[in-house]
Amino acid sequence: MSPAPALTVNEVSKVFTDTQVPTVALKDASLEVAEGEFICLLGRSGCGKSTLLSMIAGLASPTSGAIDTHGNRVGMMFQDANLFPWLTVRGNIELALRLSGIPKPEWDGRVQDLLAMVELPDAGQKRPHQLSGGMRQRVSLARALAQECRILLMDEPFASLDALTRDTLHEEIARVWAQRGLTIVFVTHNVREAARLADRVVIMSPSPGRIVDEVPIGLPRPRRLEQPEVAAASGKLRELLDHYDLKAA
Amino acid sequence: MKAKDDPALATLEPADWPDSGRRRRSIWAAVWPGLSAIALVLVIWEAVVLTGWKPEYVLPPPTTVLAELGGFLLDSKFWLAVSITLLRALVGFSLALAIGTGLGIAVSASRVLRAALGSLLTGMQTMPSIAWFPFAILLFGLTENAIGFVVVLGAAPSIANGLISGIDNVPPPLLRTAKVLGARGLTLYRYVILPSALPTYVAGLKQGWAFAWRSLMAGELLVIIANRPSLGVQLQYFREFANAPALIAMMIVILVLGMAFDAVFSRLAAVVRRNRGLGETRL
Ligand SMILES: Nc1ncnc2c1ncn2[C@@H]1O[C@H](COP(=O)(O)OP(=O)(O)OP(=O)(O)O)[C@@H](O)[C@H]1O
Ligand SMILES: [Mg+2]
Repeated sequence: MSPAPALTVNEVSKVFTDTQVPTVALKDASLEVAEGEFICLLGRSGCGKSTLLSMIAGLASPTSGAIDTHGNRVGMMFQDANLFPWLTVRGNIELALRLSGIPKPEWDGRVQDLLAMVELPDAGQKRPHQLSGGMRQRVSLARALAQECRILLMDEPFASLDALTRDTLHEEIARVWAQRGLTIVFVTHNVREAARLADRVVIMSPSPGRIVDEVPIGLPRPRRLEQPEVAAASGKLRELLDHYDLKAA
Repeated sequence: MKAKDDPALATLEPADWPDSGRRRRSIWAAVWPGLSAIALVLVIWEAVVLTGWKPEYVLPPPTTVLAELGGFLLDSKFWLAVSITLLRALVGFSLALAIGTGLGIAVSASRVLRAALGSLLTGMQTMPSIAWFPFAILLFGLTENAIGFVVVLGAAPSIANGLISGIDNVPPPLLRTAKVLGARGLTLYRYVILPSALPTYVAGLKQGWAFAWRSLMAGELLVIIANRPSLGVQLQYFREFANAPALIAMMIVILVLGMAFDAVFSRLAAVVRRNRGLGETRL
């Protein structure tokens, strides 16, 4: 028996008409993500990954088709941490708690737990500009988790970090995902990152943006980037990407 | 072992040490350019007086003016004038603050209001406040209200414009993040849009203050009310009696007061910017 779906994307298209010629950013994308599944959306620049994610987040509406999150709360992380610069780390997390309607007496404990979870227990009083890029993304993760989302959307959240920091954060996100039973949709154009993290990789192709293939990654966890199996899987993903590129050209 | 002797810390820059000598030096570093500029002005002034370009009863030397200034400080009439002027400034600025802020929020939130008032507000900023006075006197006569009216008209547009541009320039990524976190409508305004607009708003306040102060001085020279010996009235009075030392001393008072309030707003802006890691822009 397969687990209940957490997210259903049904024949979704998005056309931007505010450009000189209408741009088909996404064409007839369909996708079903099971509860607790870790999905990577993999594809070259401009294939509609961010467009799809922002529609799932409710920031934009599809031109046609439908998206159902089955009543799950959706959180999102972006390439930049987007912390509110006028608030401390604690203030950023508290704002997320406030906006989720969590009663004030619980805030202290929750902030402590969340900061401990992202391994920044003492950063509460710091300001965003006093943190490193990796620390900012951690706080951003803590803030997304503060709103008790069941589905976490991540749009190339680690793309601007160095390889070492990214590696640590991969471990962290895999741990948090397992602990909390989250459903994650993770956007990347890095094949190794996809092979390292995903249960299933959804391959997308540009002009027009669409979903062209799906590859299950059955490797056991915990995984490491250096494992030969991960390298082999990413090699296969690369071949597939090139294959669909040739077909498109 | 003292921290300074710790070899691990020995490579730190001396600037990292909390040293009272260093603090004294840094205060000095902040103050000396201003002091030398003042000294330079006094020297040039004295030099011009010594050339005999104008007779001393028209252009007195700095010492005479400074003595006059010292005399002011012991004169209760002077303090009455200062308090009348400052009260007008504070009341006018507070009104402008309320009106400008309300207007700014309304214009930024409503498309119709923006179309109607947006460019008018910018236009108002370019209007020399002294040009309002004939109309203000017609409306209110030679009263406090005429002065207040022009002070508010001078300051409110800058305050409104500061707020509007702050609100218009909230970074879109922050807005998207806030929406995903569940902020909508008033909540979005209160917790995200207004805080994000604060630095620009404070810059608007600073500019608004400068306009208010200028409008007020123009008003006090034009709208002279009996038994209200404001700073502007004193200026006019010293001119009529050809009391050049007192006239110049009074100008110095007006300059210093204006600068003092400006410094308050600069300080406020610096704190807001530092809290966000924006640093200070040096030109
Ligand atoms: N607001 C917009 N208006 C017009 N066109 C847009 C808009 N947003 C995206 N597009 C277009 O839609 C297409 C898909 O963009 P999208 O940002 O989803 O790509 P992406 O897969 O996330 O790329 P990347 O990996 O570079 O982030 C692009 O061709 C882009 O030009
Ligand atoms: Mg993108």
